[in-house]
Amino acid sequence: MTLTRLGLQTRVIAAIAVPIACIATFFAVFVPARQEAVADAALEQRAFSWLTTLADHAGPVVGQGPSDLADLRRAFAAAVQGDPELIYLTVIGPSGEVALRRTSGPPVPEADSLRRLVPTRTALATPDHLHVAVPIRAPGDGALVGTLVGGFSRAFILAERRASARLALVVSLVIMAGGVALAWLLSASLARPLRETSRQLSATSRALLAAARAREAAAAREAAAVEETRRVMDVLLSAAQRIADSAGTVLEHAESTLAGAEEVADRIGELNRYAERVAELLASIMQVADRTDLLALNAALEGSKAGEAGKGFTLVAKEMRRLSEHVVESVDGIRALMKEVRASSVEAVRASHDGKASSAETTRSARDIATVTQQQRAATEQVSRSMDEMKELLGQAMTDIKATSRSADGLARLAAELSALITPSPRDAAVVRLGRRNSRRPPAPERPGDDARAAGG
Amino acid sequence: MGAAERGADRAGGGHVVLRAGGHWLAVPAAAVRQVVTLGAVARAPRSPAWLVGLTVIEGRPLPVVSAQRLLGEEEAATPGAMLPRLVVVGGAEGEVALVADEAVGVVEVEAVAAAAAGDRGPDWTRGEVSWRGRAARVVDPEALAQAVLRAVAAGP
Repeated sequence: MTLTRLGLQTRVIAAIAVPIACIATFFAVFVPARQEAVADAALEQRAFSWLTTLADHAGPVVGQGPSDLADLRRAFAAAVQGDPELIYLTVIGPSGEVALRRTSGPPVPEADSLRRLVPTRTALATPDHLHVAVPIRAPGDGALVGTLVGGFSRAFILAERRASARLALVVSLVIMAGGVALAWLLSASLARPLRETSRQLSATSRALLAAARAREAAAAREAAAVEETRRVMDVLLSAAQRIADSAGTVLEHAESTLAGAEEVADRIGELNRYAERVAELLASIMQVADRTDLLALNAALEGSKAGEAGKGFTLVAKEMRRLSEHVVESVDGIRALMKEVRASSVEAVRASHDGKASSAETTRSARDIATVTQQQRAATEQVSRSMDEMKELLGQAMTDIKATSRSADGLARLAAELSALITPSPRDAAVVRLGRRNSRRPPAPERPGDDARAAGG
Repeated sequence: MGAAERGADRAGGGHVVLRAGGHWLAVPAAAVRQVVTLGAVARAPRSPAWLVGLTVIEGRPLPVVSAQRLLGEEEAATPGAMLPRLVVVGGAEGEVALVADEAVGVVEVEAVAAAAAGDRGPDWTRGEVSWRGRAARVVDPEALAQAVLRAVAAGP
């Protein structure tokens, strides 16, 4: 089990318990050792003091006879009895022999290194004893006459050290237990809101991810709709262009027709003027024919009155009347034709007027169509530009939504990691491992046009 | 003896055939002084309906008579090819001008047929002649001038 699989509580407990254990271990080892060292120092000080005093007493008598050592022997006995740690006292003579020895309890041999004359006081510690050597000097000249060696038991020091270590161990265990309990309570109080926060964070990230995906789908649909609208706008623009071209052609034709109608009206007016002139001429011809007829009639009348002499005159008059009648008939025919011409002319004028009005109306309508088409074209182009801007904005929105999705995904991963951190489970661990592999994997480069393909559905 | 009876004894000759409304009249050419275009006519107050008025032709004042109204027909516009004519008819007592919608010209008629007993016509006619399949009343210039001039002289 790796450290990452441990829960938050375990980590907190471990974080608190391990230092406490270290401190307890330190105190359990260091304090007794320190106490032992102090006790050894105190024992050594006491031993030197004690043996120096005895060496001062021993200086005058060392090298004398055994009777002179009796006082010293008694003093040693008193010393051994008075100090429970003092195990032996030995006086080493100038030649290294044992001049006097006093022990209590089982015999303890002196240290070999101290079984000689030592010019200065010397201490030698063994696991169970402290051996101290003090020079014995003769009064007066201070000559070195012997060495007083004493052995002290270190049993009480070892006992105190064990007791101290035991106490430190007990105290450490108590502290560690308290620390573990405190860590457990603390981690529990920390883990509960963190777990709740993790759960809410996970739910929020899932909701955010779902919303981002829904928004992404909606944006894709909107982009498809925008693209479709853009295509429709293109079609409309093309149709508007064709309508504008057709309207321009119609306008040209209508203006040409209007000009033609005006020309026709002018021509018809001219024709009417000619017809009026013809009517005037016909009236003159009729007058002439009438006068001729009248003259011929009167001539025939006079010829008739003249009898045989006027017959030729009568015939000429008759021919003249016939001619005048032919003229009248012709004039009548011309008048009938002119009447038809005038009627046709009136109809033509009316038709020309109607055509002119129709052409003017067509011209106006064509101009209106051209204007409306131009406006429609401008509006369509505006809509197309708006569609382009909307497409760009949707592309940006798609990018933002994808970034949001990635962020939501990362947030969900972080939530899973936090959940796994608080309360590890195999599923969370798998999610965390998968998320870490994905986060370590370099992102696939987005191919250009992905957004456009997504936008275009 | 009436005019119709007198006309029945005479031989045919040149006649000026004219139309007055729906009636055709034949005036002996010898009695026709001239034919002119209908010009300005001055209406006479309280004159009979057949008397159209007075006109001046070559300095002579002449009564203008509507033969159509004399024959009892209401005047209606039945224009001919030419302008209306005034046929100046002369008798012993003077001249009158007959309004004609058209004057066909001087034609030769075969004879003057006597009018039927039940259709004698007015006093100023003397029978009928046939012209191009039509019947035309023959005007008695003397009787016409006499009747018109007396009526004009008598006043309203």
